[in-house]
Amino acid sequence: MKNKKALDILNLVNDEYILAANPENITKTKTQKSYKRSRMSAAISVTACFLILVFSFVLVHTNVSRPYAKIARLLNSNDYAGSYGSLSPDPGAPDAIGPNDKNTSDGKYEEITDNQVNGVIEADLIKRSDEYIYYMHHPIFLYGNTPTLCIYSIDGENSEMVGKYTVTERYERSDGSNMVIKGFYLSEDCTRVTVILSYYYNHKEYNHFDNTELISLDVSDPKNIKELNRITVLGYYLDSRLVDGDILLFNGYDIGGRYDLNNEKTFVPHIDHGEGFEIIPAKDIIVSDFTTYRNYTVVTRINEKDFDIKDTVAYYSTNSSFFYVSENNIYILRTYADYNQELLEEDNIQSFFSKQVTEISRLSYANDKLTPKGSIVIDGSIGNQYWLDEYNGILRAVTSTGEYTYKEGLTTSADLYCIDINKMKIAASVTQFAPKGESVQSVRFNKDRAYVCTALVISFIDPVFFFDLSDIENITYTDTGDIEGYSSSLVNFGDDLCLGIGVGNSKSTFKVEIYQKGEYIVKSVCSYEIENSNFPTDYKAYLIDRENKLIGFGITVRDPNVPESSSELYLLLQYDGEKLELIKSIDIKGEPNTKRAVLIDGYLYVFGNHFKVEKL
Amino acid sequence: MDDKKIVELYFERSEAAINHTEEKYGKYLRCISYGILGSHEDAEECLNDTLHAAWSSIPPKSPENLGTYLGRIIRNLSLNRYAAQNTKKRRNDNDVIFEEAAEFIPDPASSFSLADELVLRDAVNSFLYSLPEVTRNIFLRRYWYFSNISEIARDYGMSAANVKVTLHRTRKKFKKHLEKEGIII
Repeated sequence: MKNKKALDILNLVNDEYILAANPENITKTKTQKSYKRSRMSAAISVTACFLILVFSFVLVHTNVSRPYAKIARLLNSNDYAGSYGSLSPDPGAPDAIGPNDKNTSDGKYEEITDNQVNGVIEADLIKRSDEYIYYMHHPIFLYGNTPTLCIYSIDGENSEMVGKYTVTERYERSDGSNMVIKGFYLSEDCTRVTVILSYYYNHKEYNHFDNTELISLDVSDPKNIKELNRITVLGYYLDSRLVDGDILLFNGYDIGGRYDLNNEKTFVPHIDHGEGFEIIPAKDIIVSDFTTYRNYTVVTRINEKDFDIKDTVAYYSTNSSFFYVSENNIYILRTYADYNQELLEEDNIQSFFSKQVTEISRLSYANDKLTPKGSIVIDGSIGNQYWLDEYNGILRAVTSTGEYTYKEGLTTSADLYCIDINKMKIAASVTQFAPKGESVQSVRFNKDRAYVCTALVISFIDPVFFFDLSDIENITYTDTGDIEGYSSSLVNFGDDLCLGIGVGNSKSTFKVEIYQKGEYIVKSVCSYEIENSNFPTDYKAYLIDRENKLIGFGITVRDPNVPESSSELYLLLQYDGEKLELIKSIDIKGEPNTKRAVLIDGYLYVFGNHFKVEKL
Repeated sequence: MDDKKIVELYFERSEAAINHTEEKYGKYLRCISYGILGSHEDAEECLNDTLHAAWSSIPPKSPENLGTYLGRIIRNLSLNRYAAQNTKKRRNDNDVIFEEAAEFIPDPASSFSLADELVLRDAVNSFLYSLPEVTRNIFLRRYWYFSNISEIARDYGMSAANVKVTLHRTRKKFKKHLEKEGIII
C-alpha cells in the first residue's frame, strides 16, 4: 500500500520532533483571545528554539571535527533500529597477495600451541625453544600471587627453573581491580618474549579505564631478563596473533556513559605511538549506518621487535569477542537481533518476529597493510573462532540460529554458509540442518570437510554432523544419531579420527570421545568420562599429540562423599586404537584453564602453580 | 521511574520492566494506537504486542528515549492492523489521512532510485527541521499521531480551515523536498 509507505517513512522522524508534537504536552485551555498572546510567545519561543537548534547544530557539527561527525550523529540519534546497513565498503577487486613466507621458523623456536591456522601464532601461557620452556605462573593476579614468567631448562628429571621475571603494570591499577596476563609470544629467534596484560586504570581525560599493555622482555639470557619496551593501548584485550613478525592486536573499546559529543577524545579510541595518546584518524574507522553497541573493535598491527605501530583500523559498533584469522584475513563480527514484522494473514494480526543475525567483515592484512574488504550478514550467531574457516577463497561459517515468532515462540537450529570472500556474497548454504531446538556446540573444519556438534543442552544429547564441502554446489551431510553428552571442542586427531572434548550426561561430567570418520558417516568409537569435575574450557589448556594419540589436561575432581575435598590433577589419556586409557595422573595444583604441559623426548613437563616432570 | 532505570530492568530480565513501562507510557501508547484504529480493544491488543516487542528487543537494544522507541513500534503495528482491517470496509475518517499521505509521494518520473534508509532519514528530518515549530507539530500530529483536524485546531488555537491549509501546503513542500533529494517511494 503505497500511501501507507508514505506514512511509514515518518517512523524515521527524530525523537525530539515526535516528543514535541505529543498531544499530551498540549494544555487544553487556549481560546481565540489567548491565541494572540500565545502566538506572540510562540513566535518568541520558535525564534529561541530555532536559535538553540542552530547553536546545537553548530556545536555538534563544527565543534566536533567533521570527520567524526557521523559517529557523533549516530551516538546522538539514539537510533538502534537496525537494517542491513553494511559495516564495510564494497570488497573491491580480489586481493593480489604478496609472497607468503609465514611459518618459516628455521631457528630454535618450537611451536607447541595448537594454532588454528598454520603460521598464524596464537598467544599462550606456554612456549618453548629447543633449550627452554617458558611458562607464565599465576596469570591472574589474585590473593597476592603475582604473575611471573619462568624459564625452565629441558633436561628430563634434571630440569629446573633458570630464570624468572615478575610482571608489573605501568599505571597504578584502580582499587580492587585485577591484572590478568592474557598470554605471551616468543620471538622466532627466541630472544624476546612479548607479554600481554590487561587491567583497569582511570584515564579521566579520555573517559576510559580499560588498559591493554604489551611488554617486550629480553630473554636471551634467562638469568638476566630485562624489559626492552612497553606500549599501552586503551581498551580491553580481546585476542591477538603473531604473524610475519607483527602482532595483530584486537581490542574492545567501550564508549563510556559520560561522553561529550563536542569532544571526540571521549568517544573515539586512542593509540599511543610513543608520544602520548592520540585519537585514531577518522579515515581509519569503519562506521556502520546504525548503532548496535556503543563500542569499537580496534585492530592494531605492531612490530614485535620494536613495538612500532604500523597500522590501525577500528570498527564502530561491533561485538567480536574472538577472531578468526586466516593466512591473509581477519574476520570481525557483529551479532544483533534483527526484528521485523510479519503478517499472520489467517488471524489478520500484525506482529513481530526477531532473529539473530551476524555481520562478518573481512579485514585483509596482506601486503603489510590493513585493508577493509567488505562485509556480509548471515542468519545466526557464531560461538567461537573454530566455527569459521577459509579455504580456497571460500569462508565457511557455521551459525546457531535463533528466531522468535508470534506463533511459535523461540526456535533454534543451525546453518552452514559458504561465502565467496572476494565478493563477500553467499556462494552456497545449508540452512536449519539441526533438529529444531538444538544449537551448535562445536565445529571443526578440515579442508573440504566439516564436523558440527549440536545439542539440546537440557537433555544432554547431541548428534555430530559430518559435511562434505568438496563441491559447494552440492553440499551433503550426515549425522551420527543421538549420543549422550555434547562436545564443546571438536579436534582433528589424525588418521580419520576426530576428538570430541566436552560434557557427558551432566554439566559436571567431563567427557572425551573419539569419532571415526567414514566416507559418509561419523561413528563414535569410545569415550572417557570423569564425574564431579571442573575441567578446562579454554581449548589451549589441552595437550593434543596426534602422532602418539595423546590428550592431556588439568582437572579438579571432587569427592561427592567428602564435601570440600578435591584433587587437583593433570591427566594424560592415550587412544590405543580401541579405547581411551589413562596413562598418567599427576598431582599438581592450579586452575584447570591455566595448567599446561608439553611432551619432549619421553618426558611430560607439567606446569600449574608449580612445575613437575614425569617420565612416560 | 526514568527511562534508564526501566531499560536496566529489561536487561535484568525483570518483569517489573513491563509494569513500569505500562505505567509510564501506557496512556501515551494507547492514544497513538486509538488515534489510528479508533477502537479501544484494538488499541489494547496493539499495546500488548508492543510490550511484547519491547521485551524481545531489549536487550540488545538500549533505547535512551523509551517513549519514542515504543511509540514507533505501536504506530507501526497500528498502521499495519488498520491497513489489514480496512481493505474491504467502508471509508472512514482515517482513510482521509492515508489519502492525504499520497500527496507526499514524489512523482517517480522526476527522480531516481531510493538510496537507503539513511538518506531517507536525513531527507525527512532536514525537511522537518526547516519548518516552523508549530507547523512541524501540526504536521506530525496529523500524520504521526493521527489526530483529527478539530483536535489540532483546538490545541493550537487555530481554526480548522487554517489547519487544513497549513497541512496542504506542508504536504506539497514535503513532496517537493523528497523529489529534490531524489527519493521515490
